[in-house]
Amino acid sequence: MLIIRCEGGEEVDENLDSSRDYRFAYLASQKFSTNHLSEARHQRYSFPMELDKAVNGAQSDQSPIRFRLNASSGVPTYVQLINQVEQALRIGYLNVGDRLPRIKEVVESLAINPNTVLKAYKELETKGIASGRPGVGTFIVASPPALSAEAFDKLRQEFIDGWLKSALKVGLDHADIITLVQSALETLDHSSSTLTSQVSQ
Amino acid sequence: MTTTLSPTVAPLTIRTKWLARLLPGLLRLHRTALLSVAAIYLAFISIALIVLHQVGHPRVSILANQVFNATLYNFATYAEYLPVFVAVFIGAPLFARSYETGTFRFAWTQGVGRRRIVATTISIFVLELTILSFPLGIILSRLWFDLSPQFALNIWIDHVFFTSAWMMAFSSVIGLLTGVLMGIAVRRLLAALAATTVVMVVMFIWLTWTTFFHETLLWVAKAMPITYGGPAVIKGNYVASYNFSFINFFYTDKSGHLISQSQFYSQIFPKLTRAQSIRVSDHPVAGLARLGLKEWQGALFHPRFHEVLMTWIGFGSVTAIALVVAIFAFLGGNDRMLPRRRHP
Amino acid sequence: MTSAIQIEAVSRRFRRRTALRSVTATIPMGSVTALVGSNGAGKTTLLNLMAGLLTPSSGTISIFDNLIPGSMEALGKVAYVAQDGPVSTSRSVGDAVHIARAFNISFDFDAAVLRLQRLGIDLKQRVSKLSGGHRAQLAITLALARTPDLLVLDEPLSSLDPIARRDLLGELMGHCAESGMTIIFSSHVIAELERIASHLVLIKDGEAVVAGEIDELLGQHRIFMGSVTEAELVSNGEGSVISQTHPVTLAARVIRFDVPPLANALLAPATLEDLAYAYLEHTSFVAGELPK
Repeated sequence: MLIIRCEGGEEVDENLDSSRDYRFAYLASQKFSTNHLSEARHQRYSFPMELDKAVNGAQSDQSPIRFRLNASSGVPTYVQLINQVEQALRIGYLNVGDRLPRIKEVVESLAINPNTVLKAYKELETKGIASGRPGVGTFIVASPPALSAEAFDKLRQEFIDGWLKSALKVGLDHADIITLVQSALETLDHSSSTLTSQVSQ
Repeated sequence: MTTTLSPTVAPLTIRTKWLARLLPGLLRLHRTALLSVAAIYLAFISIALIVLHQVGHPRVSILANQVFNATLYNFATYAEYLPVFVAVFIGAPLFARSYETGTFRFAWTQGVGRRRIVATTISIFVLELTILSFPLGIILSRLWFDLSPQFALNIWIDHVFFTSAWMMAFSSVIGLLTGVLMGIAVRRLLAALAATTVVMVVMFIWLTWTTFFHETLLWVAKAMPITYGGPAVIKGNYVASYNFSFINFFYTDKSGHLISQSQFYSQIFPKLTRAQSIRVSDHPVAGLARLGLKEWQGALFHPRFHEVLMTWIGFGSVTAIALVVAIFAFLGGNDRMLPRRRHP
Repeated sequence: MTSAIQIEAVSRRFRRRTALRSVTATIPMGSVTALVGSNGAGKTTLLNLMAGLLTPSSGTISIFDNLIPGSMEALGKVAYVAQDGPVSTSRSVGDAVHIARAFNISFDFDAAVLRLQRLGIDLKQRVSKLSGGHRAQLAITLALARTPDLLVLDEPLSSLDPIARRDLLGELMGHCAESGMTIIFSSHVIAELERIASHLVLIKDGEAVVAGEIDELLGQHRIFMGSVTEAELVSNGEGSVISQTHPVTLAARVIRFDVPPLANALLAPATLEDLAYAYLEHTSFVAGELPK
C-alpha cells in the first residue's frame, strides 16, 4: 500500500506507478475530538485508500473498496467507515451499483466488532446511499450530495471569515468551539428527531 | 441415516454414537499405559509358559520340587503384586496427571462430558486387565495343580487362591479402581502415587493377616442375619471362631456380647483356671461347653454356593462398587441430574 | 432465547477466601463481551463457573436461558479455552486434534488441521515443546473446530505476539459475523477492547462493578477536570462521580450520568480505558477524609 501524505495544501506524489490507477483522497473537513481536556487537536486527515483496481478490471465478486482504520484518531470506527464510503463515491471510485465489502471480510481484516460495520451500513442506508439486499450484500444506490472541492472550500472560508474569527476574538478557545459545535449538532439532531416523531404520530 | 433403517434401530445407534467416537480417541490417548500393561502381563505369561514347558505335566521329579519351591513360589508371589503395580503406575496417574497439569480443564469441558470419559477409560483398562489376567491365572493354576498331587495343594492356600484366573482379574481391577480413586481424590500425581501405595499395602495386610480379615467377617456376621447352619442366634455371650466364611459360635444365655476367638484368648483365657484352660485347648467344644457356652455353626453364604468363593466375590464386588461410586462422587460434574431452571 | 449467559447473584467461596461476591450480569446472544479486571480479581473463577468447571456457592448461572453449565447440553454448545491453553496430555499436536475429535460429536477436523497449518504449527510436533503462543493457538483451534455457540476464553491474547493477536481477533470477529457466535473473553489489557467488544464486565475484588453494553456505557460517562466536589457540582445530581482518588487535586474525573447528557464545554467523552481505570481504581471515601 502506498501512503501519500498531504500537508497544508500541497500534494506530494511519491513513486506513483502509472500502470496502476492509484487515487488518494484529501479530506478537507475537520473531524476531531478531544481526548484530553488540556489540548484540542485540529488535524487534517488524509485517508489514502487501498484501491487496488488493476487497469484490466477488478474481480467481479470483490468490492472495489477496502477499508482502513485509524485507531488513534478518536473518530468512532463506524464514522470512519462511512466517511471512506462517501469519499470513494465522491472521487468516483465507488459507483452506484457497486457492492460494499461483506461484513465478514471487513471484520476479519480490521478486527472490529461486526455490529460496528452493521451500524455503518445501516447509517448509509438511512442516508439513502446504500441499500442492503439480504443474502446478497449491501449495494450503493445513490451518491451523497456532491459537494465539489470548490464548494467545500467556499463553505470553509465562509465559516472561518464569518463565525470562527469572531468567536476566537471573543475569547473562546479551540476546545470551547468544538464543544459548542458538537452541542449545536446534538441539539439539532434532538429537535429533528422529536419533529419526525411528532410528524409520525 | 438412510430411510430404510427402522425407527427402533436408529435411536440405538444415536445413543451410542458418542462411544464409537470416543473409544479410538481414548485408545490413542492412553496407548502408552495400555501397552505397558500388556507388556508386563505378557512378560509374566511368557515366563509362566516357559516354566510350564520346563516342568511338563504332570511330572513327579526332583525338577518339579525345585520348580515348586523356588521358581513357581516366587513367581506366583510376584504375580500377586501385579495389582499393586497396576494401581500405582497405571490407575493413579490416569487422571491425577491431567489434574496436575491443568489439562482437565480441556477434557472436562469437551462435548462428551467427564463422566463418559472416565467411565469409558476405566472400562477399557478393566477389559484389558481381565483379558490378560485370565491366561496368566490359568497357566499358574495349571502349574500349581500339575504339581499338587505330590504337594497336597488345595485351592484355598493363599498363593494358589490369589493367582487363580478370576482372583487375578478381580484384584487387578480393584487395584486399578483404587489407583483411579486416589488420583481423582488427591489430584496431585506424586501424592496420588503415595496414597495409592499406602492403600494397597493396607489392603494386602488386611487380606493376608487373617486376624484383620476375621474381624471384618465378625463385624459382617453381627450385622447380617446368619441363618445357614443352626438355629437363630439369641442373646448370650459368644465366642466366635472362623474358617473363612464359616463361623463357629459358642454362646451362653447371658448379656449378648460377641467376641472373636482371638479376643477370647487374649481377654478371657488368661483368667481361666489351669484345668479350664487345658480343657479348652484340647477339646474346644467340650471345654467351652463346660464354661457354659453352647456351640453354634453358621456360614455367611449358604453352603450350596461355595462359601469361601462367595465371600471373596461378595467382599470384592462390594469393594469394587464402592470404589466406582466414590470415583464418580469425587469426579462431580455433568449436572444432568439437577432440575433445569425453567425460563419463567 | 435472548441471553447467552445469565448470572444472578453468583458468589463463589474457596476454603480461605471469597473469589466472587454476588455477581449479576446478563450476556446477550451474539455479543462479544470483555471481562476486565486486575489479576486475582475473580475473572478466571467467573469463567470457570460459566464453563461448568466450578459450581457457584450461591446464586445461579444459566447458559442459553435454561442450561446448567457443565450439563451435557451445555457442554455441546460451550467451548472453553483456559489460560495458556493446556490441551490433553497427548504427545503430538496431531494426536491432540484426533483426541479432540473423539471428545466431540460436532468437530470440523479438516478446518482444525487447516488452521494449524496456516499458523505454521507442525502436526508431528510434541505439544510440550510448543511455544506458549502456539499452545494457546492449538487450544483455540480445537475450540473453534467445535463450532460452539458460546466461546469462553481466559486471557487468550496474553501469550500471542501483536500480529497473531490481531489476526486472531479478526478471525473471531469473522466467526461472529458469520455464525452469530457469542464470545466472552477475559483480558487485563484494555487497549484493543473498544473495537472488538460490544459488552463489558468489570470485576474488582470479586464484584462486578460495571456490566453492560459498551456503547451505552460510553454514552453515560463523561470526563471532567477538577476536584471531586467540583465534579459533583457539575453532575448536578444527574450523575455520580466515579473516580474518588485524590479528592482535592485537579484530576480527570469520570462521572456516570443516569441519562446521557448533551455536549457541554466542561465535559469530554470518556474512552473505555478511562472507564476501566476509574472503576478499578475507585476507592470510597467520606468527604473531608483521606481516601483509604
